[in-house]
Amino acid sequence: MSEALFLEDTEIIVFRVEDITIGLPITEVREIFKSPTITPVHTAFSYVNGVINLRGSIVTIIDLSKRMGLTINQDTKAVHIVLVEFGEELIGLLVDGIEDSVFASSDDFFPVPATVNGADSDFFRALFRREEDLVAMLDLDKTLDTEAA
Amino acid sequence: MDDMDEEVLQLFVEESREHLGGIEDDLLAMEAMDGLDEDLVNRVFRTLHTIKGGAGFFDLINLQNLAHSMENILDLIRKDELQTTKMIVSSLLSGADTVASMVDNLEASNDYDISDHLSVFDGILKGEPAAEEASVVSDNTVVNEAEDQDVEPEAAADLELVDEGSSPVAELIPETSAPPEAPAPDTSGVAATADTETPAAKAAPAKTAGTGDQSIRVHLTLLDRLMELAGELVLTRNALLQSVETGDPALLQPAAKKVDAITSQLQRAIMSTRMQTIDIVFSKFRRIVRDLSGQLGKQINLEILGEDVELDKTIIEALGDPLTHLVRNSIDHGLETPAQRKAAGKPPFGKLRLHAFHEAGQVVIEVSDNGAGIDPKRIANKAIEKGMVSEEEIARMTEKDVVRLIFQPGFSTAEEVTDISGRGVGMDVVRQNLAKVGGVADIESVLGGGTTIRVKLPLTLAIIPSVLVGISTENFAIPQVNVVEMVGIAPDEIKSRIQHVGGVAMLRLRGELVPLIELTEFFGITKTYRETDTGSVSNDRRDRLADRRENDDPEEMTTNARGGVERRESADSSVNIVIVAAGAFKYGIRVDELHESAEIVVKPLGMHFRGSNEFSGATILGDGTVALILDVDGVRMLSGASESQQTESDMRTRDSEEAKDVDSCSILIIQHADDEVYAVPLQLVARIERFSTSDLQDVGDRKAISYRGGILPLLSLDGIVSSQALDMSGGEFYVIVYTVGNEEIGLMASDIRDIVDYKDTIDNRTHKRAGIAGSMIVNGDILQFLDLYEILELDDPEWTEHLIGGTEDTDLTILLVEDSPFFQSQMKKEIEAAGFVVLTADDGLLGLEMLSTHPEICMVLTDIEMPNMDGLEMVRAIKAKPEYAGLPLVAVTSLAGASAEQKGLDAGVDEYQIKLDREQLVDVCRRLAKPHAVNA
Repeated sequence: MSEALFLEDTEIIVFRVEDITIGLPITEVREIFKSPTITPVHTAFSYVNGVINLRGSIVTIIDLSKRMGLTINQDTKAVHIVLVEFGEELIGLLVDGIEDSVFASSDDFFPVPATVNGADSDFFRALFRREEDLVAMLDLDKTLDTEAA
Repeated sequence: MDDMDEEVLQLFVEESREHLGGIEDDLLAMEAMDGLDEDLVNRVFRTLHTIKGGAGFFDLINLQNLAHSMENILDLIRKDELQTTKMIVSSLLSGADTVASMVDNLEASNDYDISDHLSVFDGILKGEPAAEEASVVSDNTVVNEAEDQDVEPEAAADLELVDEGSSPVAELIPETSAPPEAPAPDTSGVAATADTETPAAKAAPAKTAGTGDQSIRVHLTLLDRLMELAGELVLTRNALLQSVETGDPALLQPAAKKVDAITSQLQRAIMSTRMQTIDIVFSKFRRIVRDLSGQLGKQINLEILGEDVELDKTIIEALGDPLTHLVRNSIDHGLETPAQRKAAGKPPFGKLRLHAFHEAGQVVIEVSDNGAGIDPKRIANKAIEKGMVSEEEIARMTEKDVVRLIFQPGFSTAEEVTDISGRGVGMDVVRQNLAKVGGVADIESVLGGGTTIRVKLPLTLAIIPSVLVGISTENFAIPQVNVVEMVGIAPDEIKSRIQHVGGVAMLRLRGELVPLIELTEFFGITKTYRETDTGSVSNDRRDRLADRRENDDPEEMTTNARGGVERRESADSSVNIVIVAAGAFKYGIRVDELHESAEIVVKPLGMHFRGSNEFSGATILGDGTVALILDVDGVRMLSGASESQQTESDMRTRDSEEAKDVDSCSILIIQHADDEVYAVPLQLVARIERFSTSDLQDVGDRKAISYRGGILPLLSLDGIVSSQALDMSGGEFYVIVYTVGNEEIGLMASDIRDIVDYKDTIDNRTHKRAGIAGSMIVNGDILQFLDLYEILELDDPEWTEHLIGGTEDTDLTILLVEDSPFFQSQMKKEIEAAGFVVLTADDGLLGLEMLSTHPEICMVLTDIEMPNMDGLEMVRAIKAKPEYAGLPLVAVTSLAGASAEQKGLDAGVDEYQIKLDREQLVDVCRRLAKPHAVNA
């Protein structure tokens, strides 16, 4: 957790996956869009929701709630895709809703507790205190890692 | 080194690599040169000089020294003060290898031990090679071997193909693993090199990383062409936008056409940037052949043909390993030593030929030698020993098929290398590696005469012709190369044709059992998956395919029938199966929908698919949705279809091949107009001719053409079975000539598409109408099967009658035994038209029954391949009964084969006829059917 905290002021995109409020620095987000039709696929990773055609490229879609092993609440609808760049690949994260974009100063980050609303702390780099609630900062490396899964 | 300008260094590395790329060929040419070729020597000299200069600038002392000492030797050769010998070239070659390796590992280059090289070069320089030659050479051979790794780490993958014995080749192999990562200790001494224990596999990635071929050189004219096309595209886009804005459909059409044209041109141009000549792969074999033949004491002439054939970069890169494997096999096992060759009465020089050429839209590479060939007996023994096949199976196989066994997985593994000194070591790996880039390998060998391995490759991997299929709600693409055929099974046949054998669904296909893979089960497609747009989760109460069909419970039916997804569950829908081939293994994939065949653009899949062997990529369909491309080999492996099953079904295929021929039918596919294709039975076609439209003449109200000194009346499908006019826009047309009565008739066609062997049933229900006998699916296209006599009749009934002659009604009864509804109805119609009474039976048993209840039958026409009791069996049964003595028995087949005919004659058949040849059929009936007095 040594590199866990953000040293600089960061603008953060805040979105929701089940009951967790999650943030990503805006610099790590390439695009946000409503989910088009996802072509289901069948891989070793149950959390891979499928693939989409993004302007001629095939983009893998990861269902974040499944990735984090969250109880899937049937009422929530994963409708938005947060497109991130990972290595040389673009990957879409399927999220339940986009909330906000906030500005965070480096003082507002805290270490992550053992679990965050049911999700393992490994998926997060830090917590960020938004006015009245907490935003868990997603660790893309851990989330998208295909080795450890 | 710390302060060095990275950019300049990079430039130096790139430039050096480029120079070094040609040095090997140049050195080999020097060895072969007659007298002094100054240009050649100068070129090598300059290369080394440039490298030396650069190395000096960057303080790369080792590299500088080595290049310098090599340069000195070349200087002497250049001045004609030193004669090039094989030994000198060998040392220069190995020196060049080290230089190349150093260039790839500049950081470590100063750690290389080059003292061996330097002392060899010193010796040469001092002019003492004569005295020392023997020792230097032996020494040098080893150095040379040690260095081989850097040029061809592919050799590492070939570990198993060389004898583990003490031959020099074997030593070469472990050394391949001395990777550039740790050059210093490994090259320090020859002894040390031999015991490196680094896994051999590491050498290959090291090479890839080292050369890092991520950029490509493109000719300027090609770039200009791309630029030009891009310009055109912009202009057309503007036109398109304008026409959309103004809503003028008159403008839209041409713009859309232009976009279409430019896109294809652009695609071709961009593809050609990826094309590289095969020379890149071939050229390294000069060195390999030279070195290996030297070590093995063989004399080999290498012939390289078709070096300028171009292939996609990806394929070229993937070819290195398998081709090296094949070439080394040829040298090591195929070609004999001069002594052996002499004893066999062959010239001492063995010939090894690499030949690349285009054939039918593919590239073929042949690796052939005139060596000892492969002994099928040894292969057979080996295969039996390994339990891959039984002796009976071997007995049924042709020699060619036996030799092909070497491609079978499990035929050879590393530890058997010493057991079998013939060929076929690791050939399975070769086949698999080639399959990865869509290649197919075949082998032909003449014992004592040599071996030829043919590798067929697609031109490119970026665009592949595929069949698009729908399974449940998902779409998949199956590469055309893997598709063997498509089979539609009528609802009433499902129960009898799809069976479960040991828990695996099997399809009965012409006497063969083909395993079926249910992708929905395999991928768990509809069991539960969330549809993103509705969020609904659909559950499937899927059961085994055949069970499902057997279930007639109406309640179950309705449960299953909810939603379009389960449409196939209903009792009246047929089942479509795509038969695919993965290597020698065939299996069927049940699909819900057959969409179209299309050229699809292959897109890579992300890292989450890296472990998923069942997909080779994805493509984007016309509607923007994604379809995954099935990797037929991968699906097979994951589905757990076992090897034993494979060989078993493989053998079955062979077993039934002869029988299959009997029931297959060659058809000619002709095009009438755009998107309108028809099939014609090839047996009825006398000739195919091509004419220019200006040759057309009008004779009476009929088109005709002067032909062979007479007039050939022509027939066109428009107005008969087609509503479209014959497409003669090309200024030329084809004429399919066939005979009716004693006259020749020509059927006009705009193009000849193909000739195929069609082996499945012809559907005579769906498309049945006047002039059309039925329909068939070939490569995804629905073809209408023309009735050549009926179209003539439709066109001109009187003339037809005149040609055929009036029918005289007889009351003679003929029994027709035929299982295919199509052929049955077709032949019945023809014979009835000739005035006979025709009774039909669907198989041999029913035929016998008919015969016993209808004593008026005075002739039997029977098919051979039939369920329950086949034609031959029935004929034997008839012959066995004295009351039927003298009853004419005629066998009808769709394709006559000498062996089949003999079998038929042995069984007691009087004559053989071809099913769709109406003339002959009627003729044989007229000749043989006579009122008989046996039971009358």
